[in-house]
Formats: sequence, structure tokens, C-alpha cells
Amino acid sequence: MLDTSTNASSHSLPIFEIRGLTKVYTTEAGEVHALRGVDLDIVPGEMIVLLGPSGSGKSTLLNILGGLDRATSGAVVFKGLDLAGASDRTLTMYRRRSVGFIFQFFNLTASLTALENVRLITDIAASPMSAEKALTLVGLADRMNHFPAQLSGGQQQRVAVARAIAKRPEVLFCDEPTGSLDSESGVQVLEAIKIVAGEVGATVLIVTHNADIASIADRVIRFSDGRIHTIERNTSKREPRELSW
Amino acid sequence: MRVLDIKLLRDLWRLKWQALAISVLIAVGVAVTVMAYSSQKALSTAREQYYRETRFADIFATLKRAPLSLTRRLAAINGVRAVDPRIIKSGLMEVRGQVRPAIAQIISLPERDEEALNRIVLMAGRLPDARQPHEAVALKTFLDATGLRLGDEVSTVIGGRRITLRIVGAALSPEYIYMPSPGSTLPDDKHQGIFWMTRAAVEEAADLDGAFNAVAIAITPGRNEAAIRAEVDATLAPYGAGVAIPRADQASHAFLEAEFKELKTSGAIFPPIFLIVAAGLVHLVMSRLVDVEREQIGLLKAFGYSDFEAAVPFLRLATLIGLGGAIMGGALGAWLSQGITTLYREFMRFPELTGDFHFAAFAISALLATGLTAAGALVAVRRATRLNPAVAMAPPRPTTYRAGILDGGYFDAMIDPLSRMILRTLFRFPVRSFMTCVGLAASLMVLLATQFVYDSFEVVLDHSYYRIQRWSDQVGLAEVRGPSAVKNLTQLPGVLAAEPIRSIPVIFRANGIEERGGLIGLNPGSELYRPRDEDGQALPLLSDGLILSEALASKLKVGIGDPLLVEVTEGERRELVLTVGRLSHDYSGTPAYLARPALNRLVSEGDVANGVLLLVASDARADFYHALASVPLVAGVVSRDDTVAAFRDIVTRSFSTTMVFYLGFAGAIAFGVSYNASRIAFSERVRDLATLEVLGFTHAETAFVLAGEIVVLALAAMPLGILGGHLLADAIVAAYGRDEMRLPSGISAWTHGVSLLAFAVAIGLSLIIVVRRVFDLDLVSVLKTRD
Amino acid sequence: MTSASIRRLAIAIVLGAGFVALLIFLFQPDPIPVETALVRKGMIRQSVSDQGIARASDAFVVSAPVSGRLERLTLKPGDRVAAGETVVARLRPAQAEFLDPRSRAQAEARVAAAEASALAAQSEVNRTKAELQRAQSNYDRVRRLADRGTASIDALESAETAAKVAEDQVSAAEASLKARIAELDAARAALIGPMTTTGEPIEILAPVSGFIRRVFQESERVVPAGTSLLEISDPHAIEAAIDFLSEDAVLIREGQPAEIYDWGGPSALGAVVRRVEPQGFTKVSALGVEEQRVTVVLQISQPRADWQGLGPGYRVWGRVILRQNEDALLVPLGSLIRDAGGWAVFHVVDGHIVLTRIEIGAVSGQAAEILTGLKEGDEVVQFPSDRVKPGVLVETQRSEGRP
Repeated sequence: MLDTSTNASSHSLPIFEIRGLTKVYTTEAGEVHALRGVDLDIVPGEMIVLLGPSGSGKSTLLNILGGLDRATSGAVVFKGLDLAGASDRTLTMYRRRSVGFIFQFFNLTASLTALENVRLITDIAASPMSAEKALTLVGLADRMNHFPAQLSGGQQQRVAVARAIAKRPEVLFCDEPTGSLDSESGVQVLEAIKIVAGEVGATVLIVTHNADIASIADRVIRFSDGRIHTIERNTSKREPRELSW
Repeated sequence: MRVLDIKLLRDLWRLKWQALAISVLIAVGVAVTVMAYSSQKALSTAREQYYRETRFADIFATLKRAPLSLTRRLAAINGVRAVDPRIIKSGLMEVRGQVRPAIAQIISLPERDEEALNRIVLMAGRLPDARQPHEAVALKTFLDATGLRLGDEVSTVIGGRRITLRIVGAALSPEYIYMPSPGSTLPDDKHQGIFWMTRAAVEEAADLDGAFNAVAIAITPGRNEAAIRAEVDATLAPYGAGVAIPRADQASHAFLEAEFKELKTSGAIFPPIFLIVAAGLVHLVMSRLVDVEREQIGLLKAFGYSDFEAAVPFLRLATLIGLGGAIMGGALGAWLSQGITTLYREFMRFPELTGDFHFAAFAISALLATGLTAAGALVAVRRATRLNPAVAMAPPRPTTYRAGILDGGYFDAMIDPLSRMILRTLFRFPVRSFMTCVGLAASLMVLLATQFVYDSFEVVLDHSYYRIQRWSDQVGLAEVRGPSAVKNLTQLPGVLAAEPIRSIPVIFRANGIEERGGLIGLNPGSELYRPRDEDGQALPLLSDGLILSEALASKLKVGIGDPLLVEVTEGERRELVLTVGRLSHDYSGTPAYLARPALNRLVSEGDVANGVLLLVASDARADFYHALASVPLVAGVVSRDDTVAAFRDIVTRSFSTTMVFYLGFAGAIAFGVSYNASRIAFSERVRDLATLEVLGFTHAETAFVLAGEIVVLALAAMPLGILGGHLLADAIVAAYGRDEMRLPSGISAWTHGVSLLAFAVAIGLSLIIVVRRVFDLDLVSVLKTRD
Repeated sequence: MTSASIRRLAIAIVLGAGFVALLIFLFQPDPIPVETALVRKGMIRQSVSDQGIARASDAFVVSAPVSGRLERLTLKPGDRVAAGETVVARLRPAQAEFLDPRSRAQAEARVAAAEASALAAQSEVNRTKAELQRAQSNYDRVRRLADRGTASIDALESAETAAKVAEDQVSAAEASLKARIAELDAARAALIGPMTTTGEPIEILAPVSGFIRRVFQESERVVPAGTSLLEISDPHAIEAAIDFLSEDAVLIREGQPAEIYDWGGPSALGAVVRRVEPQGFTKVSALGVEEQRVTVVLQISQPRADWQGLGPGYRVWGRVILRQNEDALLVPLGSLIRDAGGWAVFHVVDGHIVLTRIEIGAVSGQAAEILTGLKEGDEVVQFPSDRVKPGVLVETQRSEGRP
């Protein structure tokens, strides 16, 4: 269902225009229809939570929007850039310049320190913030030279946040950012996301199956069976620190 | 990309053992290549230089006697650059401390050095003084071997006269770089004494005043050597000359050439095998290493690294490992080459023989090895970068296992789940399992093929010196003599039996091919010398029909019943047409046999012999040799026991040095393959293994799953490797087949045993190291990192 | 422990044990291939042999009975002469002078000597005849025994040979006697006073049948009495004179059996040692070494028909048989080895090598007679390689051919 209602600050053009997006996987067990026609507009500066049970297609949408995967059919346009038909090179550049990722399992490079993990990204960014600043933003200034093995789960994820944001991306994709964390660490991570997104003015998309998290978003999109089920606007947004699960 | 480089270095450190194992494999391939080519180069260079400095001649001829004035005629032949007439005479000499008398050959030094060819290189002492008639310069190797020194006097019987020589100098000569002793292919320094004396002294001893009985000729490069030789023959024929021989047939040079050729052959065979095996394994290992890093690659791509940028660190890693291995290999190869050169220095008497480094061989093999390492990495990286980053980063889906041939019915009950895991993994990745199996088989193959040579030597020794030739001593006469000469020798102390032998130097011709050789006349029914056919049955000596060595027959492309042109190259030259009667099977040389009476008849001579085969009682040998030394007409004596002992000595010594190399190399390959295969399997499946332990399986059982894979592959590799080893041994036999020594194929049980043991030890060692990791598994951290 | 883990352990142990067993099997020392021969019974002869020359055992020199003018001799070496028939020379005797006392004494002495020689020849004839009788009766005796089966074929043949030899000797002695008588006649003729004949030529007849071997005086000339004119040899009386090394000659005795071989004919000829010269002489060998040699005369005992082609001056090789054993235990020469100053062989027992000391008797060029240490049927290694040592495991290959 296309919701044309936008929030107050959205006189701007959509950052993402998605029309009729489908994604079909072929596995050894047969065809899987991950997305069955999704239409959506995303506005810059939004925080969106994609909710739904596992297998509903939310992660698939994230991956396609993030340029990690390609749609089977349909249109995805990012600020006028056609992602669906883009070349690998274009997608790579897109990811390099405009996108930051945070994954459920942190995916930090074990042989690099927190600082180095962030520098991994700032090294190829056009105009990044300094790695130190990124880490300070997420509250890990005193752990910059620790290896992931020496950090707790929440700290690792915050490093991932710093890494994602250090290049000043326009969009921040978070796939189950708190999925591996306990409630307290999860809250810290969500706070960090909020801060850094605000710092650089990034649009944030969070995929989760945890309905409680949905309350920090501007819009909550519910997925089921490869389609958007509902789109709700959060009238009373909460702060991450108010959450507990 | 600076952080990526930091990651690279840290990864390299983390993988240090695997990287080392890979580097070692590369080092092995490069080392063998460098070793082979460097030694060749060192020898080749030394010889070139030596020949050049000493003006080594191109044509050699011996004759009965010609006046020195004939030299002018020889020099006038078109194409001749220099002529060096000399006198050579030999006899026997008893050396203190030695049982068997040595051959003493005296050679006249030229009067004018500018004209001299085959110049000697004085290593100690001085040249003989013209005013002192009995001074002589001796061959250095003879002095070293016998312990004689400058200033010592030796007495020889030459031409029936007893001559005393005083040694004033020690020299090396290009004509005697390598002197195979009569009857074997090994040098016998103690019994080959060469002495150079002033012309006047030798003229007197040989009774050849103003004359010469041997000549060395140098020709202008580029001229038709055969034509010049023919003219030399024509000029010398009236003076009792045999056929002049070109440099290629000069004893020392010919042997050196054969050695070089053998080096070249082994240089062409072994290094490529090692390189290919090493490179193949490296490729395999690198690609598996990188596969493990798939997730990281996906991550980099997710963050906007291009395919190329993501691949570069791995290429750098591979190149670093490759280069490290190559440099190690280069250094090892250089060191080994030094060792081989030292070994050769014992046989080849160049005044200077220094090690050398064949840079091109190093560069090419290093490039090849590094390239293949990088290619291995590249292939795997490409596989990873081709994937969508999302897919790359996703935990790998459980590998599809399907019901395979082992499932169902009986096996299900027989094989417990753990063993089934092993077998299913092997069958799920057939290519990988096969490649690992091949790699292990390759190491076993190399082990077998490098050792079998020593089994072959044993067979050759037994066959040549105890089956075919059964005499204990062979005496050569300076001239042909009748049967009373044989009788005379029978009457020396210790002689149990004696048989005459007549050998004639000839040239065999057939089908446009020419081969220089000898025709040996044996008594029919001889017990002491029995040519044998390929089944080991003794061949009867006939009056019509030659017994031809198989090797000679195949060189000349003749078979049983075919005619053969035989040109006698001594005395009255004549050409005979003989038929090939039977073929004999032997491992060295290219002999041809005829019944002695028939041979004598063919050259119109009576019942004569120029050698005697003897059976001498072993504890009477000293007396025998002593009596023999004063018989004037005896030109030399060969002792079978001494020859065999020398052979064994050389083989044993070279065995211990080369076997250490090859066992080490092949062991390194086996270790490298199995260590890497199991180490990577461990990394790939660490979660599965940890899960097993969580489920309650003990360390031992978990280790069983990991080690079991390798053990099954090793067991499968055993028959494969043994088969491959036999095939490789056959290939080596065929490759060496054309040389002076042919090897029988056939690998002894002992060799199999040693090879399998080394194989098992190498694999066992690697498994112990990897299995230790299983025991050190930190379950919690391993399990936490993934879904 | 679960049954599965027990099974796994069992499999592991079985595999491990199997591998170790394989290794042990492979490390067994390989049997060494050797060529063997069996100790057999057979004939062995120990002999010494050397080369020599065939020569006429007796050459008869015809000399001028008186001084005179010898007509040119027409006979040439190789011509056949018949005793008492062929005229071998014609001599016109010179005027016979009265012999001066010295010449007369010389002539008389010559007669005496000739008489003595004739007497000696006569007694030689008597001796040989007696010898013949003895040999003949021995032969008869042996033949009777042989017919009954109590004497061996060898003994019979020896007796026959001995009889034949004795016969030959009688002929030789008789021929010798004839020659001596002719010489006596010639010596007596020299005592005759002046002849009144006009100098008709005396015809000198051949005293024996045979071939002219040498002609000493071919041209016509005046010769004094006693000059050797020509030499006639009896083709039947060819003997072989073999020059043995003195060390070998010491072992030779008259009457020992012998053989003549390498004379150009199809097979070796039976012979007997007739005489060993008492005095040795120095000779330089083919190889240039000085040696002491002794001439040994062998008499051929086979009928002349067997060796028609052999003539005086031909090269022959003679072998004297020192020892002969018909039924000796033999090993091939190639199996003999030396051990601590004595002889030994490598005896194969149950596939292993045992060093067995032996004592040997006769040694021929191919085999040796075993006196102690081995029995018939034992297997010994021929031409052992240096790997053959006591205790070693071997793989035997029987070789064809004798000892």
C-alpha cells in the first residue's frame, strides 16, 4: 500500500524510490520468492524499522537497497541512480560513497584493532571523519586499540557502527543490529546509531524481528511473506534508552 | 590501503605455519631446479675454461712409429692448426702399500711449449730438468691416491726394461680429467699412474729416437673434422697407425660428456617434477586458504572495496609466500649445488672447480612457483568476489549432502556416524579429495623413484661382474701372443684357471650409422666370461654370427640375421661383413662377441690372444700381482674385486648424500600436503568440530573426524603412489637408456618399506600438530562467532 | 565406551597393525640371487700340459762308408724310400789307400764301436721282446677277467694299450738294430784294403723304410768316409717332445698316461710318457720371462691311421695325466673360495648360506675333487658375489653345464 503521507521535514525528494521490486532465489530445494512486489518511497533523514518474522523478506530488501544484492525485477532508484540496472562498478562506488552497513554478527576483522577496523573504511572514503572521532561518537574512545576479541558483544557492535558511519554515508543499513546482544548492550548500540545518524544526517533502515525496537523509528514497515503488510507512522517516538526487552 | 596491509601482515603471522609449509614446498621445487642447473653450469664452465687454457686437442692418433719429420706433412693438411707429436709408452709399476701393480704410462713433454697441445697444468713442484734424465711430473690424482710425494722414486717395467723415475712435479691434464679404469666406469686413481718426462728420456725408454708413436692435432674451428681425420689416417697408415679418434671419443672427454648428459637428463626430469608437484599443491592450498576468507572478502566488498581492491591483499599474501619460498629455495639450491660440485670434484680433476649459481634457472622457477601460488590465490579470490557480498558474508549453508553409495543397508549399520561424516565429506568434495590424494601419492611416488636407482645398481653390479664376467682378474698383454702366453700366466702363483681373450678395436656400421667399439673374441664354452640373453641364459659363442649387445643393436638398428659392416681399426685395416647371430642383454657398454678362433681367422692370425681371463685364489693375490709385475709383456691387470669394491664405495657415499636430500624433499611434500589439507579442513569445519564436543564427543573422537579424512586419503594414495613410483622409475630408466650405463627397472621391497615409512612419518607428524589444535579448542569462542 | 567407539578403535588397531606388518614384511632382507651347482660324481683328471713339437723318434743318418766321389743326390726331403731297395746315394770310392797306423787304428775303433752299438741294439730288441711278451700275457689275462666281468673296461683298455706300446717298442728296437748293423758293415768296409776295381760306384741302399727327412750333401763332391749324407725317418716312429716347466716335470714319471692335443686333428691322441730328460735348460717365455724347462718325450699309443696327418716338426700340445679318479666327488672350480688358508665353499642349506671347509684332491681346469666336507647332491654357489656371506638368504638358480 503506498503511503503518500510523509513527515513534517520531508518536502525533499525521496532518497529511495522502489517500484514492483521482486526477488527470487533458486536453491537446491526449489525457488524461493523472497520479495513479491514491493513499492516504497524513503525520505532522507528518516529512521525506518523493517519488522517481520524471519524469511519475510526484510533482510532481502535491505541487501538490495544496500547494493549487496540485485533485484530479479522491478525498479530501485537512489537519488536518480538506477540501482536495479547498475553495473557492478557502479554498485561498488555506490556502496563506497553512500552506504554504511551494520550486521547482526558484527563482521569485524579479527586481526585488526577497533581503530584499524574503522580505518579500513576511511582509507577508501572520499571525505571521512577521522576514525578516532567515529569511535568517540560511539563512546569507545578508550578502547580504540583493542582487538575485537577483547571487546564485549555490544562494544564490538558499536565499533561496527563507528565503522559504518565514519565515511559519512547518506544511508545507514542495520540488519538485526541487536540480534546477538542482550538488552542493555542493545540499547547502547541503538543509541550509538541514533547519535551518529544524527551527526551525519543519514537515513537509517533497521531490520529486526524485535517489535520493541520499532518504537524508536519514524516509520515502521511490517513485512510478511515477501510483501509489505503495513506501514505505520510512529506518532510518539521513544528514545532507545527507554527500551527494554 | 594501509590498513589492509596491516591485516595482511597479521594474517601472515597467524598463518605462519601454513605459510611456511607452502613456502617449503616452493623452496623444494626451486632448490632442486637451481641445484641441477647450477652444478651443470659450474662443470660446463670449468671444462670450457680448462680446455681452452690447455689447448685440448681435437684429434688423437696412435701409431707404431714414425719419424718426427712426418709432423710437417700432418701440419700441412688443410684445416690443421697445430700438431703435437709425442711418445707414449706404458708398463706396470709396483707401488708400496698396494697389492695390485699400477699401470705406468710415460708421455713425452714437447720440446717447445708454443706448439704444445693438451698442456699439463703444474699444481706443485716443477717440470723435469732436461739434464736429469729420470725426472718426471706425475698425475696429481695418482700421487694423492697413493701417498707418493715430490722427491719420491718409483720403479716401473716398461718395454721389458726397468726404469726408475723421480717425481719432481704434480700436474693435471685435460686428457685425464676423468679416467675410467679398464673394466669399469669408475676411476681407479691408485692404479693409474701417468708420468710426463722430457722427450729425450722417453725416447730412450721407448727406443724411439727422433720418432713419435702418438700425436695430438688441433684443427681450425668450423672445418670438416671427419675429412681432416681421414687425411690424418691416410698420412699415418703406413706407420702402423690405428684409426684416429676425434675428441668426442677420447676416453676422458667421452666420459665427461656422458656425465654431463646424465646431469642434463636428471636436470630435465627431476626439477620439473618437483616444481609441478610443488606448484600444484601450492595452488590447491592457497585456494583453500582463501576460501576460508570468503566472508572477509564479502565484507570488504560490502563496504565498497572493488573486486580488485579486495583481491590485492590476498595476491600480496600469495606472492609474499611464494617469493619467500623461492628465495629459500634459491639459497638451499645454491648450497646443495655446492655440495654436488664438491662431490664431483672428487671425480673430475679440473684445476679449478668452483660452484656457480644459475640465475636464469632460479628466476624462471621462482617466477613459475610464485606465479602459480598467486594464481591459486587469484582463482579462489575470484570465486569469492564473484559472489554477491551478501551471499559471501552469509554463513555457508550446510553443504548439501546426499545419500551416496555408502548409504543404505549394510553400511548404515556398520559405519558409525563419525566415520560416516568422514566419508561423506570426502565424497562431497570429490575434486578436493582427489587432489589431496594425488598430492600425497606424488610424494610417495617421488620417494620410490629416487631410491630405486640404488636397487638398480645392485642388479647391474651382480649381473655385470658376477653373472656375465666371472673372472677375478683380467690381464692385458702389450701385444698379441700365442697360447703359451696363457700357459705362462696359468703358472703364476694362485692361478686356478685361465682363458685367453682377444679384443680388437673396430667400427661398426649399419644403416648409415657408425659406432666405435670393440670386438671381443672368447673361447667357446668359456666359463669365465658368459654373455647372457635377456632371460639370463648363457649364450653360446658361435663361429658364424656375432653376439651383439642389445644396446648396440638398437643404436645400429639391426636385428638377428642382419648383416653388419665391421671395420678393424688396428694393424691391417680390413672390413668384414658379419651377421648378427644373437643379442645379449647387459647394462653397460656395447660389447660384441665372437668365438675367438673365428675372430683370429677373420683377421688372418693364428691362435693368439691379447688378454687373459683368470681365476685367482683370493689369498694368493698379493703373490700373484707381485709375480705379474715383473712380466714384461703385461700391459695391465684389472681386479674384479677391487672394481666392485670401488663401485660400492662410490655408490654408498653418493647414496647417503643424495638420499638425505630426496627423502627430505619428498617428506616435505607429504608433510606439506597433509598438514595444509588438515589444517584448512580444521579451519573450515571448526564449528562442526566444536559442536561435536559440545554434544559430548571426546577430544579423541573429534580428532578422529579430522584426522580420519587424511588417513583415508593417505591409504588411498598408497597404491596410487606406488603405481606412480613404478611408472616414474620406468620413465627414468628409459630416459637414461641411451647412455653408457643402462638401468634395470624394478624396485626392491626394502625401498618400498623405506618409502612407506617416510610417508607415514611425515603424515603422522602433520596430523599430530593439527590434532593438538583440536585438543586446545576453546569451544565457547568458536561457537559464539556464528549463527 | 560405546560399541561404535570400540569398533572404531578396533578398526584403527587393525589398520595400524596391518601397516606395521606390511612394513615388517617389506623390510625383510631380499634373498640374493645366486647361481648354484650340485656336487656330482664324475671323472677328474689332474694334469700338466705344455706345448712341444712332434719329431721322429729315430732318424737314421746314412753316411758315406768310404771316401769317394759322391754323385749328386737326386732324392729330396719327403721322398719315400724302401729298406734294402731304394738307392739313396752313389759313391765312386776313391783309391783306397793303405791305412796308415793312425787311420787304421781309427777305423778299427770305429768297427769296435759299431759292434758295441749293434750288440746294444740287439739287447734292446731282446728286452723289448720280453716286455712285449709280458704285456701280451697281461692283456690276455685281463681280457679273460673282463669277459668274466671282474675287470673294468678301463683296465682292459690300459692293458691293450700297454701291449700295443710294447709291440711298437719291439719294432723300433728291431729297426734300430738294423741300422746299427748297416753301420757296422760300413765301418768294416772301411778296413778293407785297396780295391782293384775300376771305381764303379757303390750303391748305398736305404737301411730302413721311411721318408727322406734331410739331405745333408746335395751336390756332387768328394767326401771323406763317414760324412753324413742324408737322414731317413721312420714315419711310424713319431714322438712328441714337450718342454715342461721344471716344476711340472718333477711330477712326471715314465709310464704315466698322456695326451697329445691341439695338433690339428679332430680329437686328442692317447699317449704314454716314455722319457723325462734328466737335464733342464733355460728358455725365454712368450711373455719375456726366463724359465727352466725339461723335455719330456711322449709316445703316441694310438694307431698311425688316427694321426696320419701329423708330421715331424709340427706343433703339438702334450698333457700328462698325473691323477685320475673315475668316481670322484666334484665341484666346479668357480665355487671354490679361500678361507683362513684353506679351501671352502658356500654351501646352500635350506635357502641359507653355510661356509663349509673342504679338502680338495685333484684339480682340473674346470673342477676340483672333494675329499672331505661335502657329499653328493649338495648344492654350492658358483662364482659368489660379494654379497654372499654365511647366514645370508639366497634364491638359487641352477646353472647348466658341467663340472
